[in-house]
Amino acid sequence: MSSRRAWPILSLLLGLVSPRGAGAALGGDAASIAADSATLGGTREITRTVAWEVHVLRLPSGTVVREYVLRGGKVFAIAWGGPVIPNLRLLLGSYFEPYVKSPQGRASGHHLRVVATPNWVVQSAGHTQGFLGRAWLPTELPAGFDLDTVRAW
Amino acid sequence: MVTRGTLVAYAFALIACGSSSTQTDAGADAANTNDADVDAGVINVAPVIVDQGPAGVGAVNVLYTTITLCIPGTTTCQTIDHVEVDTGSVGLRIVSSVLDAFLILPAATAGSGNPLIECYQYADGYNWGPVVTADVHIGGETAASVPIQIAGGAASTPAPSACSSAGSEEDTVPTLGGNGLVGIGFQAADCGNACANTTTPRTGSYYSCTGTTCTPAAVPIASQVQNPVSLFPSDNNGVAVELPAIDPGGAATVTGSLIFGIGTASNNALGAAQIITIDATTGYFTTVFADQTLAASFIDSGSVSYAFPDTAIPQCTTGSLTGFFCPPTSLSLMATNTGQNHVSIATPFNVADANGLYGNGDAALNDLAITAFTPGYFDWGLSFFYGRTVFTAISGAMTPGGAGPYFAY
Repeated sequence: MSSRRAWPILSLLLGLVSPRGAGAALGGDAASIAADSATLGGTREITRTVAWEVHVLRLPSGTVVREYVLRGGKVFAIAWGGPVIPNLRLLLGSYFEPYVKSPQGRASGHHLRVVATPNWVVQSAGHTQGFLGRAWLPTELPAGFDLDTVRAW
Repeated sequence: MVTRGTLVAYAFALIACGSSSTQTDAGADAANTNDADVDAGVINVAPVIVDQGPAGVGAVNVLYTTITLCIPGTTTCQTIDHVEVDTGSVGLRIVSSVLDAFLILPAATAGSGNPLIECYQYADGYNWGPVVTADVHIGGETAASVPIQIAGGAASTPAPSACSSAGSEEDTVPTLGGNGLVGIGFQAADCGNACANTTTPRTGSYYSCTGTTCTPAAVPIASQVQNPVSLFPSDNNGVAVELPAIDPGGAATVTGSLIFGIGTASNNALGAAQIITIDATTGYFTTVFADQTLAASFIDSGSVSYAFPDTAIPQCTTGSLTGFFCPPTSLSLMATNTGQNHVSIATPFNVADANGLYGNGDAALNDLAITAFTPGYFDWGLSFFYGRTVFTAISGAMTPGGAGPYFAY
């Protein structure tokens, strides 16, 4: 939620832009992606299909984040890949705390973490200098969307 | 269990084999050493074990070794068992709570003079703690004045958001799964140029901290947390992990060897092993499996199992085994691993019912596999290591098989 942002003033401004609350990227709207991009730095490119947009954020760390947002709707998926895990608290928003507090599955080691619920899924994998992961909202996926395209590596 | 150690054993070992360990051309001196001599004088081997880990951890497919830390230049030391052996990360990290009070290791400082505190990420979380310097003994090898991390050793300085936002904190024995973790992967330093950049040091890695305020710090590569292997006087170009074959049903515990150096002694020759070179940044090679080209693949002793995408193999229905494969009968599968050098290795592997495997209470399971949730990679975890010798060559280091980085098996 916006209350976790480091800069309350920015949150307030975003609140004005998006009356329902810009919140975090996942589950938020396109404005929340712009806010993510402003906070994380780097560049942002947008490609559009009829139903959704893909925002590609190239962060200063070298990590690439791709956010998938319904046109006029919610961010329904995020992928990342690169030398550093991006700021998942920002990108996952209200899903971050449940993600980190979920019990690990049976001994998956340090190179994989998965939390799957009916409404949200987060998958993080990889090793030093080579991380990859994705998150999505199963109930928000547009018709005809291929989950295998949610990747940034 | 963590025990206070002495240097007597190490000093004795070093004296006993000093003539071979101090050769500058280590590759040439050991060719005529027979087995008896190796047993008596070998210094480049550390015993490793796959067991249930420290009390309360209940580990499965986690590889451990024992390490002795000393205050640099002194004989004030502590021996720490159940340190995880991870070829998928870099650097030695010890959980602060296992350190004895007498082992006061000198703290590293940032360029600002403030304490240097590191955030080190894994896919599932992070370590947060100060960088200190220690003499590190593993097997008979010694690396002097090694920058290491004390996980959880900066409790009064909360991790910055860019760190804590990577996942969950793993600075206790139960959350880390060991008393520490030694990363002996393909890099010599745990970050590299990105963290040495004095203009814009990478966020989420090294921090200069004063009070509870931390700002990203530029750290020269040699001052970053180091792969201790690369700082050994010899046998420093990589490692070999050697584990015996086990039965398909698993084994209660398994012991093996962590051998330092590649082609530097009689016990670490490449022999028939084939080399696949890897991307110098990511460590990836390409696995082709079931008509899928998986370009972000890696070999990693710190992963508990095989992980690969496959929609045909039934997954387990038990909640705690979400994502693991539970085929009704064991499967014999084949994949091909191809390096950047275009060398391909046809690699057979087996997958068995994870529910049945876990039911045995064994700590070592060779046919354990989980679905790769993110598309595009095959993780050859500890399941892969049984019955093999797996080499990991450090980036830029010369070996008889060429320069690292590479994997060979």
